[in-house]
Amino acid sequence: MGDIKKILLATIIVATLLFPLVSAGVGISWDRESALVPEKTKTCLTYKIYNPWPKDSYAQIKLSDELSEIIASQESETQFIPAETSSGEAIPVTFCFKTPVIYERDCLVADKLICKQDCLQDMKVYDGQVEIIELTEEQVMSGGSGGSKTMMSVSAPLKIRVQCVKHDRDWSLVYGLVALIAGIVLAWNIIRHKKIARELSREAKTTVKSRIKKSKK
Amino acid sequence: MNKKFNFILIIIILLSFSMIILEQEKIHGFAIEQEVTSNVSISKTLAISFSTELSNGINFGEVNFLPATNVDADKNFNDTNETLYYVEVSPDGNVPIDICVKGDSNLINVGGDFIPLNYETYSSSLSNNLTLPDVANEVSFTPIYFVSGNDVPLGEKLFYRFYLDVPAGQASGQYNNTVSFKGIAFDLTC
Repeated sequence: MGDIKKILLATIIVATLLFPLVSAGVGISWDRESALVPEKTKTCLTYKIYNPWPKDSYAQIKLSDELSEIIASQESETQFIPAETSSGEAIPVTFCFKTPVIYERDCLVADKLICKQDCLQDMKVYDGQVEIIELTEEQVMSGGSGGSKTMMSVSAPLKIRVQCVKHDRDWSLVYGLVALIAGIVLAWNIIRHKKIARELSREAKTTVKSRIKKSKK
Repeated sequence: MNKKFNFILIIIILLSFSMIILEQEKIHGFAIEQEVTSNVSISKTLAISFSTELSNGINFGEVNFLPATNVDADKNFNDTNETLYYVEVSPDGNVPIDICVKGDSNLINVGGDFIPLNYETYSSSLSNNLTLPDVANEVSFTPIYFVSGNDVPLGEKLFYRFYLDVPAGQASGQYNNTVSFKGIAFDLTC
């Protein structure tokens, strides 16, 4: 009887390991659905993710394609969500992105330099979603004609209003060039002065030596 | 004279750097990274999970006679004529959920042959028995998200059955793709 119990227990353990009874899940908690972001600015937003199911999961934050037009770069890491993490214990996850220049500017050089911004265009608004995508191991299809892998995600709406920042013409380039030219002239002056001083010193030594010789004669 | 000239150059360099800093402050206000203002103060939470069978993927088995219509996925019916595919909405949330689905691509084999995505269909229901979800209500997968289940209450499951049409003359092979399920707050756009 003892042996039968052991066999039964081993079978249950093996079956549990081979055939998990539940799958993992993913949840999102959010308290903002819009953001006002200046252009050319790095912005970080925080959402919370949780997993109330009895199996660990991994997830990644991603912005939807509708927002890709205004996202110059995006940073996000894979996040581990322990099993039975409730919404009250949700894990904050921060992701950052940078908005590119999207409003037309009045530039003097090559459409990029010595620019001013009058903000005459209407504010641009981009509607998209923040998605929490569950990451799973590769699923193996068992023979037959194949089929479909499945992917799971949850999302929260996000409306990004890109703010135009008005400013006068930016003369930084000109000031930089002036500083550079002045620096070069200064350096050249100092080097030249040192050269002259060295030559004068040599000449003075030579003159003193010849005078001493003459006086001895 | 030379010393005076050098002094003037140093002043010019310092002034130029000051002007550069002032220009940048004018444009950015030293704002490189900043908090953004939210206009929503309500907190929302939602969570979903797959059944184990749905998590493992949708398998249509072997299809030996063509053309084939509405081939059942292998977990569409268990011993009690219930489907084992479902998406469960966690009771730990505060908004009812819409479940959106899409197919990421056609079903493709390693040789590049494909079965069009719209040949893969699904039906969904909050009930689960012999007749529901019903093949008569099947909807084709599309490459963009569409709602497959509206207003799924907290703690409830949305059940699915999946079907596949395989046309005559389809090349042999193992065809695969990925289908995605997304939970969103009720009544928002997929």
